[in-house]
Amino acid sequence: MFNMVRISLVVPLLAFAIGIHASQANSTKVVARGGYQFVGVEGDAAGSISGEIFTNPKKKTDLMIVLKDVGGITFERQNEAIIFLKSVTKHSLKNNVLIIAGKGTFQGEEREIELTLIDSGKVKEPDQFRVRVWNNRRVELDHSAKLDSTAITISRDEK
Amino acid sequence: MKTLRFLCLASALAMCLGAHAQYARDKVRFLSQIPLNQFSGAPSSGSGCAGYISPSGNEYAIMGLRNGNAVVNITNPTSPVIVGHIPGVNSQWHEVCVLGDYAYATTEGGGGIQIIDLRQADQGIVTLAATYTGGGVSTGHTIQAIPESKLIMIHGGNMSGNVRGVRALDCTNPENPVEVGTWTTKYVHDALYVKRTFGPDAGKMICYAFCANGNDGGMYIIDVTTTKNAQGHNVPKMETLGFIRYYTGNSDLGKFYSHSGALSPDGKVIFANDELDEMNGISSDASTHIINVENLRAPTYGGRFINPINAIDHNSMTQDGFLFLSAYKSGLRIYDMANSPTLKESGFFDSYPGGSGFQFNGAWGTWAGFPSGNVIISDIDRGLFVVDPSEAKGLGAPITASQFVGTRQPANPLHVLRKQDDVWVKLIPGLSKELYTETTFTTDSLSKSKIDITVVARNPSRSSIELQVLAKNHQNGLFESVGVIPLTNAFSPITLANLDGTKYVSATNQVIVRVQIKAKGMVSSASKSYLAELDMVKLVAHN
Repeated sequence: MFNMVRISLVVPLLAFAIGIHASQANSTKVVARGGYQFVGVEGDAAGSISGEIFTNPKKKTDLMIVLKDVGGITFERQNEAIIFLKSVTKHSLKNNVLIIAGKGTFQGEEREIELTLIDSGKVKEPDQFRVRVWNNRRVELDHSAKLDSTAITISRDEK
Repeated sequence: MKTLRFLCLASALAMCLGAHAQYARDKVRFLSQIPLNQFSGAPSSGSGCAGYISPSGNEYAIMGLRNGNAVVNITNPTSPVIVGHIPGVNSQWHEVCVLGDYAYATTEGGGGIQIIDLRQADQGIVTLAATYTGGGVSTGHTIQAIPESKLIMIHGGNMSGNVRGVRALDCTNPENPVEVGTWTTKYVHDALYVKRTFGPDAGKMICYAFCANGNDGGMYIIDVTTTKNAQGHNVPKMETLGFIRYYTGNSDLGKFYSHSGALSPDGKVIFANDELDEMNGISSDASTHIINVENLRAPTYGGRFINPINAIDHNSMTQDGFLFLSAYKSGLRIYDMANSPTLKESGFFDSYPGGSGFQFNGAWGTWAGFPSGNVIISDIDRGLFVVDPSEAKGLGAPITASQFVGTRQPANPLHVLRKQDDVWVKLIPGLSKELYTETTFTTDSLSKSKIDITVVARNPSRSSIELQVLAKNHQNGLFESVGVIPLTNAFSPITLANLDGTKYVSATNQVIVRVQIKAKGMVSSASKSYLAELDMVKLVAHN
């Protein structure tokens, strides 16, 4: 009897827990679109982030970060860097900070991408992101930027 | 056996159709594609491109690839042949230009300027003649040639002081360049070189340099007219004439990126491509910035032309009054410049069927200077494309088949009626059987509810002659008369306009037109008094 009660409680709870997990796993959407200036190795450089991230693996994540005129900061010491995030493997959302681990490319080569996004939600506070590109446990690029407060929007993905 | 043959034919047809059916297009005909995996080493990405025309008239595409540069014979545009591959360092950025019978290639990956000998390309041989590293030259972002002064200009390459402006090389001796000047005011991403044709600076070679962003970013105008130095080298002046930062406000400094551009046919307007304004939210769609350069010392901003294609504009060139733009995820876009600075899109070929968006995929570069009129697209993801923009340029649908029934077959049947020239077909009336010229057009126009047929012919005889024009009605399979054209003794175009495209355009977008002499009574086919000369048949599809 006890076991039955326990099972009858555990099963719905488990289902509920799975449901919560799935709901959380499928619930976050990021829209990023913004440019910024920063000081590169050789002076003024330009950066830009653009695209969408869905933590729901059934939806297509496609986000690009481009760094221009950076003066050889890339692993092959080139002057431009293009990073694509193509899929999300792990994520964590706490308040307005979303941390993503996923797969993508850096200079066209497949890499693991780690991205931290901060949606300030306040007009006077900048949005921010940090991107780290990993290649066999080695960080090939670590870049942070502040953007306009409207550049990054983290929201619940309704569909 | 017959079944097998049928299946083979069906499969081949499906593959042919399938190869280009996936690419959205309007008034631009797909001719061929070389995917990346067919190039040596199966590079994972493509980059810039340029064209070369050999002394014999053969046409070649030179395409930047992640692992170097490839030379492709596109003289037969539907069957391109890879002639050679010059290996280079691993880099997403490989750019190339042509000066004389040599190609000069640069890359962000370093290693110097590769000089590729194209003199034996017609024999299937291209070689790396030399690698220029003089003055410590290693990297370059883009490279352009100035044929008039035999200069190669490297942009955004390594330089002392890290300015990465313009470096000029005199290539009078093609395999042994000599550095003859630098411009170091600002980083230069790309530049355009055009001789000025009017005003107080007429005759000067002008550089329009696209110089990224920031307070000193924007477009610089530089006089690069050359003089000979004591050693006989061509030395560019490198004098800054003007500057315009077309974006305003400090908050915008990081959102724009002056990238490249093309000049209007009258030389008065620069159509500038900004590479970051779309993805940074300045524009919701592909925007081309219009800069008036009538006064080189005081250029003015004329606003933007916005094409609602949801893509980034990248590189462009002007040819025959049209602007050819490689627009990343929206492929090749063609703009009519007849009413410059107002642009009107006249056709497109989307080499990136994977959707649109503000990202760096799809068409990187394009080159439109081939005598054939064909255009190449270098696509980051899908390799090299050869396309025919005839319809987009107002030249009508390409002729894809022709028959000369009862008349002598000309040497180049697909081309003889393509344009008005000094090659024509003689038509004589039939006595006991039908005699006619039959032309099959294949239109790639998205608009085809109506068609116009233009005929250029003359009557060199003294008799009164008319031409009867028939079109195949694809609803019933019968040819029917769509008009009768009276002839004079001079070639002059006559158009039968607004014919019903729903009847005459087939499901495979073909229009079949017959032109024959409308005989008046029984006449001898040998009679010289009944003779018409047919020079051109043109088909325009529209709504």
